[in-house]
Amino acid sequence: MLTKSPKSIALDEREGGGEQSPHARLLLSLDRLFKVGPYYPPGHAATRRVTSDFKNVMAHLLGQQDTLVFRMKAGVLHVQDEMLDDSWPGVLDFQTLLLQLGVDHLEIDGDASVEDLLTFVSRFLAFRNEVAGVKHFRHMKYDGLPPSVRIGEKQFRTGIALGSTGGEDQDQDGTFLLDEPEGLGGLDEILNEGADPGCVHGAETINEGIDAARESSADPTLDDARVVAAPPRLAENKKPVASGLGELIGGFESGQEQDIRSRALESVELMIQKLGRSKRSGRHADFLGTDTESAGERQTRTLQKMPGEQKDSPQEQPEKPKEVFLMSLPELRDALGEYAGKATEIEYGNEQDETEHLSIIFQMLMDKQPPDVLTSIERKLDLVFNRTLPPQEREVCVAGVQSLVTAEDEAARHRGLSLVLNRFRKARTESVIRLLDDVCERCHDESRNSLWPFVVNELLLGNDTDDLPCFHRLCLRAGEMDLEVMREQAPQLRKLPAMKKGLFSDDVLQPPLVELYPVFSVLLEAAHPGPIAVKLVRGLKLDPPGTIGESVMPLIDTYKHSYREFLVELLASGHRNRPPKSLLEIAGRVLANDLLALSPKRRGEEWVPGTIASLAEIPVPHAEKILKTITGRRFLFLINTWPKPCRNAARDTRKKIRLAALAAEAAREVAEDPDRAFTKLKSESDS
Amino acid sequence: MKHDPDELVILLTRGISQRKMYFAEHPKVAAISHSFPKELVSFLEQSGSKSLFLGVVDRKLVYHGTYLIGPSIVGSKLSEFAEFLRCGGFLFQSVVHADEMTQFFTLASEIAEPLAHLAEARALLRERGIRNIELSPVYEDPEHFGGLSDFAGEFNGELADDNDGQMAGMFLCQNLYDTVDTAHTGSTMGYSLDIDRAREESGKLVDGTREGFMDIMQLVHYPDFDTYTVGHSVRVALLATLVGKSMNLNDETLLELCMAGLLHDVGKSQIPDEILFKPGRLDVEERDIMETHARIGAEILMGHEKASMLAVAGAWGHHLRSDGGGYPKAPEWAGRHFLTQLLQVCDVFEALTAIRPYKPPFSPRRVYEIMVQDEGAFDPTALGVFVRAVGLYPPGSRLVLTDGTRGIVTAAGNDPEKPVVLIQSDREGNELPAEMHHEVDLDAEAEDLPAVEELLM
Repeated sequence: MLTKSPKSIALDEREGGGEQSPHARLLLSLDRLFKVGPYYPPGHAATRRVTSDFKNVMAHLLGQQDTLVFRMKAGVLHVQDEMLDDSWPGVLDFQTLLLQLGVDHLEIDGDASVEDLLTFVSRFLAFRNEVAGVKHFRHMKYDGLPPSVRIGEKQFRTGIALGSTGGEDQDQDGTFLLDEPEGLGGLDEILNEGADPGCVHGAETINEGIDAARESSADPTLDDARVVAAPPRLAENKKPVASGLGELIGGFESGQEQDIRSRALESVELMIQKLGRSKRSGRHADFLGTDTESAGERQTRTLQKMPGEQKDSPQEQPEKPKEVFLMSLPELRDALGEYAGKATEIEYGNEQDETEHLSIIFQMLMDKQPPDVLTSIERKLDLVFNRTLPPQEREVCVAGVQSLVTAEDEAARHRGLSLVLNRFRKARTESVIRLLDDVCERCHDESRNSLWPFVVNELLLGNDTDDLPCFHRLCLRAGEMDLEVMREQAPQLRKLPAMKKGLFSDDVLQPPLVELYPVFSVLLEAAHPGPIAVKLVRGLKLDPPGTIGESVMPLIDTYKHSYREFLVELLASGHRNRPPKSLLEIAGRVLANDLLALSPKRRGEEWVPGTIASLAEIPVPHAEKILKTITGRRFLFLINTWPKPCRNAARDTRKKIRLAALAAEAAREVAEDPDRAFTKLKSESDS
Repeated sequence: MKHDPDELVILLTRGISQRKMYFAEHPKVAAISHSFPKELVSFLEQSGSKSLFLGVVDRKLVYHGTYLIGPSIVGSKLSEFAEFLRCGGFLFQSVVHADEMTQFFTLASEIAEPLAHLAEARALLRERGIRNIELSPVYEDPEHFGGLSDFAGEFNGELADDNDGQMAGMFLCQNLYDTVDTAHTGSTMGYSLDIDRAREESGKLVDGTREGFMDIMQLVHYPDFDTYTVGHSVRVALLATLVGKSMNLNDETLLELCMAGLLHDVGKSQIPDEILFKPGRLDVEERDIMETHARIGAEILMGHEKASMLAVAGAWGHHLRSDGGGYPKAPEWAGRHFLTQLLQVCDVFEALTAIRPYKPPFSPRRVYEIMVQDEGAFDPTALGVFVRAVGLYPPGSRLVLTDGTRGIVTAAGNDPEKPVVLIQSDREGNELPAEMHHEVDLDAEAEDLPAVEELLM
């Protein structure tokens, strides 16, 4: 994070007026230029737009000035000497690019043409590609730039105070990309091979500094790396090494053999890099969002002496730079005292608080987990659910299940919900029905759809019916679901214990709960509905729904595939007062097929006359023939095969049917020709 | 002039660890096999010796008649190897080459039980083509290399007295380091965690620190650059235990807390070294990968039936901020346990006060500044408890007082600035004999009590 200087302009400060600062707009337009410019031909509308935008913003910012100047100061990008906030769009990218290329400043003339700007952008991107992945130092040639765009390369500054603990050091973090040249051999080469006098003088000065450091440390084995890592001692030299560096660089600029120059530069860079290395901020500082560099802390990598090992004499211990603190001790004391005071306000028991553990488990279950993790989660949930949950833990369970329902990974969602609800149910300390009711209450429609199989599963298992109002509320929720959704979710339900193992509660199925009729209807639609079909038939016979149910269900002894259509339709509409036509038709077919097939023994059962009578209401194919058979069939021409109540019922029903037919005929005639119908009726009446 | 072979010991230990995980030709093993001879030559040139002898006495490494306590803590694999070889140390000749080192690491990673005698071990080394690493007889043997003429004048055959308390602490630390290292290595290899061992060592730590944390806190500050996640975990466990004790947590909870500290970073075992040990800033992708270590660690622990939920939560939540930031991203409904938040405080405090390849150690004062200024990062109560237990000068810190005396902090005082100090040297800087060491409570109501002048880091 950048520390804002008083002169820096933060976007948020400007945003108070609802408008971005010109600096921010400039960087944004430059960012667009870099993103669009190289990929479209110069005349393209996109390039025209971004270049003209950049030029407009630039002109606005420049006012009377001729040249726009980007400059890196202490690793931070400035425009026209204004420090930019790196949270602005484009600032960080451009700043990084300049750092990568070792650019100190960049000048763009206010009258730069569109072509110049596009050339500048494409050349800069080419430069970046050139340095990408470079491991060794080499001098970059910034060629091909238009005259209206000029860059100043980063220079080794002669004023580097090696002993400084200040935070400013812009030559760091990959500005020059080097591998690790060991030692300062490059300086020696300059001295040995005879180079420019200024350059030689500089190198000599540095070597003198190193020798002086060795002497002053009383450690003849002090290596180069340790020397450069000991800035305070170097700084004590009478002849500042820094000025030597300046002379050395001056020598380079006056012209040297390329390879000597490179090696020498490597040596110098090594020194600077070593100094810079101690200045990197730590990852935890990033995490804390705190700029540790701002404190100007530097410390060399020194091994701490352990007690019992040889101790450094005071002379040997390098002088450590003082830490810079941002708060006075009293301020810190006050702040810490406030925290410490809070610590005394509460008692820390060793009480069980599983809210976090439950939260983590639910979050883990959102993703696919290996079997050992799932097994372990089961065990841990058993421990947690083995007691009555405090409200906050129960709350996490509700929110956790709600969250699990939304898991993107369907397999993980199914596995996670199954696992949690199984453990919850088995613990028997809490009501899983109530938990699901609470979850449903908070869920959106889509989540409720995903939760539906689990709700139905629990209802079918039905071993948690202590809270009846809640149980019925959940039944209603399950039954109110759109039939299409139920059909979509039914495969998931079949994987759950109730359907998979045929574990159905009599509370739900003997007789089937009316609220769940639609659910059962969907379940019976499957080609092989399994044990639930048998249970349903048994349950429906106990309390058949409506007149159709009362008439037909007694006829159905056990579940057969041929009944599926009727049962599905009956359950889908069975609780309605007026049965739909489709149900009547299917019921009629069942009666037509099965009534006459009743065994002689069953024909004496109480319900049979009623069912026969229902033929007057239900459109049974060949009803007349069926009824006639019932009334007239005899065994050996003497013994009636149907009991008398059945025959009577059949006889009455035939009459009703005939009358109904006549009435229908009359009604039809009246509808077709009322006068003729009236005349006919009158003549029949007279006769 | 003595030179500490710390880096060489670290290389040897790391070589053994890496060879346990990777095949002999693996670049990671090869890198260490090649760098050790180079480092050795450089070391010998500086020290003016022809060879390096690392003695091993009672699982402690010895160099030039002095116990190497820090290296012994991280070098337990080396001392264990010496025990298995029935030897009293290793003599590394300057001409030892990379192939021999690879064979040395291979042997160390393969050997599972002690050999019958030293001659067998020497034959084994010869059989493996290791000619330039010699095995010394054990310390009590007159032939022990420590008595060779090479070291005449530097080593008189007698080891300096060791401090019993410190040695006990050293073994404790050695075991803690090894427990964490083994856990991390095992996880990398896909082995099951040895939770029983972690529990056992945590129990020892809880018991071993009943008298205070001074000794052990000094010991664990060995800067293990190459394996710093291990040292970090041990130190976090120690800090958490210290704070937990100050809260009067019961022993079982304390033990769980300690285990959670030891294992909180086990997920880093699954993070590539190139990211884990990258010296500079991580880019976005690398950071994303790095941040998975919390979740991965929790899943590793969750997969172990004996791991406690606190350990799982410690791994999961040690980068979660109190205000809901950090990672893994927490949903609004997620609960936080006080002890996990305490672990987060310990984790950040340790990370900032420790040396890292990419950062210097900060003083506790600076760290507290950072922590209190980062509003919302920490649970105020957890930070408060931490401040009360650790203070500005954690136990084990070395101090200079305003009257010129020096000592070691044995406990935090009621005032964070005024700890209890064991004075070890007088105003002139002369070390006091052990019987004259005395404790001064800087927070006591007495006149003329000195204050803290400087923290020696």
